[in-house]
Amino acid sequence: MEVFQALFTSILPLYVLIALGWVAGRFFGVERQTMGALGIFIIQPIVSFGFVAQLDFKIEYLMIPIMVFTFSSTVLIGAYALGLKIYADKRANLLAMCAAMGNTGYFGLPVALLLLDTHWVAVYIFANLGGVICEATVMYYIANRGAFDVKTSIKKLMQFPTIYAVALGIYFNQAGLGLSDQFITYWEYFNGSYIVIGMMIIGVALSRVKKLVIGPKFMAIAYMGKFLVWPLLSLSFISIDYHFLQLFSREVYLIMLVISIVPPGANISAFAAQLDLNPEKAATTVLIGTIFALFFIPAVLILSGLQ
Amino acid sequence: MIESVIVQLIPLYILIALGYVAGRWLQVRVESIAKILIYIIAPAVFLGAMIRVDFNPAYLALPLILMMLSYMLTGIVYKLTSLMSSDGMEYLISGATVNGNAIYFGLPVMLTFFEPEIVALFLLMNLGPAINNFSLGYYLVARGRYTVRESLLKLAKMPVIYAAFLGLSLNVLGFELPAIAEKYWQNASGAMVILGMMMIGLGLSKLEALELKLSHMAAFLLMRFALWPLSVFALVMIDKNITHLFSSDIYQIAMIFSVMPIYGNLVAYAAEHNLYPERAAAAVLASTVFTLVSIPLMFWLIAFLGI
Repeated sequence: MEVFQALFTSILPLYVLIALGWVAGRFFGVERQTMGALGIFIIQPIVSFGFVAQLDFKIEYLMIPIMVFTFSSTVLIGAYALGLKIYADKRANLLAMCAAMGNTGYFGLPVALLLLDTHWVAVYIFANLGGVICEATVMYYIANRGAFDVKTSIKKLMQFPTIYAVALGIYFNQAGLGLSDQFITYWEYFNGSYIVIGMMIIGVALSRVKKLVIGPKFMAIAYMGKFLVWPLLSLSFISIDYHFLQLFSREVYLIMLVISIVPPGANISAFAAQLDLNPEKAATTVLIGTIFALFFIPAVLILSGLQ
Repeated sequence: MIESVIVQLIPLYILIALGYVAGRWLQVRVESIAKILIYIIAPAVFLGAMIRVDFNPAYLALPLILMMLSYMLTGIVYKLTSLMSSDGMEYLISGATVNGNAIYFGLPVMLTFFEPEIVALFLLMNLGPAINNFSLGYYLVARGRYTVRESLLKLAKMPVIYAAFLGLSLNVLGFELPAIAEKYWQNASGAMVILGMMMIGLGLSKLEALELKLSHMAAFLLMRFALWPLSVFALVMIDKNITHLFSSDIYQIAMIFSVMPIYGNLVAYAAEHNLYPERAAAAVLASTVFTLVSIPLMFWLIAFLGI
């Protein structure tokens, strides 16, 4: 119980930031596009570059994003297939996204920062590329209801600045280029900005929800994918590796686990609007999932024996 | 000495450029960022800073003295400029006199060169001129078409004042920041540095043209980089030799405070009241570039005079 309390209180301030973002969006007219552009094009690439440039890169780390890609695609396709059986319309597409698309960036990275040191946070960022690639390919396919071609998908991936930042970071550490103290000072300011602004982006996105629309069936299936199937996939990988393969350390297990237990991404309601589906139902699913994660994350971390 | 100060200032200009890029090409809107800063991040930073200060009642005199100086200099500049011009420039130049961009531009400079304790005092002393910024400064840029009541209302909406007051009260009551709050205070300070500097570039990015006559430019720069530093220097000399209220740390930060660039929201004020926004932007830009000289020079002067 004590460990739970400690984890709970260390995650709680992140929720205060989400609440502040909600207030900013609701009462001060702060726009999601502005915050999102700042996060995606400026803050996230700089933070990612700094971490990866300091990473002592090992070839076996390549396997981690591949695993992440595999798991998120499995959940995505599984939820989509199940959704088609139940709804037989485009609600299945939205359901798949809610089930598989975790907020590994704005929510997951601050959690990783709480649990891991600089080196392993860098590995987390690298691992998360698997999720990014899944979003740009499999999820993009589902979000656009099959209107998909490889060229657009690659173009979409290439527009994601963090990819370049990670590549540059890998180049920096392979070439043995160090980062100056001055860069580190400002990079740390950017890390602070990432935590504050990233969490507030979640709140700003949720502030658009004017009323809560609970779809019990929709929610149950989405959460089953997000909070049950995916974490179980991660946990089975962890236990197989722990007992048989012994490829990775405890930190990598934590990374795999955190990626699988974060709440659904806040931009799902934007996808819902794009699909002409009720964005409030999607946003409500995200909101309740986010609140649930406050209790769920510490619980899973403790039950897994990793924390 | 001078070179090392210049090197320390360079990242600030990179951040301003980044803000310009974000405003020009990434659809980042200055209004949203300003609201996040004014209503959420700056109050949080002020609150934490005031709790951390090693409080001494004499410190309360700092913002009061600078507030009086700010009102006095603004009045003098208004009288002088209205002798020479009646086309509205007298309002713009005197409206720019109230304060420098000391909170946003000053914070990273202070964090680089001074202990957190002194940085907190720097923020405290800024409150005085900030009050003038929202009262007389705004009144002048509105060309007097602005009632005292409106002015007080605007002032009442300045959350940093409440935050600072709350922080000092908690401080006097013996409250200490818990470790976790300390960490988030650092995150918020990081966000304030990054967003505060980007705001300057964002403010400049929305204007199609810059224009300024040499005589106007000279008036802006003389006011900012001669009148202000000489006045503050006179006060420092009076205290050092006669009143002995403050220590040399305070003299140093006061003198650096006196050579900050013109505050960025002058452009927004000028645009709001249709008072030569292009000229305001040119003045802000020129003074910001000039700071690359004025701040190192001030550090040199402080060392040279042994202050």
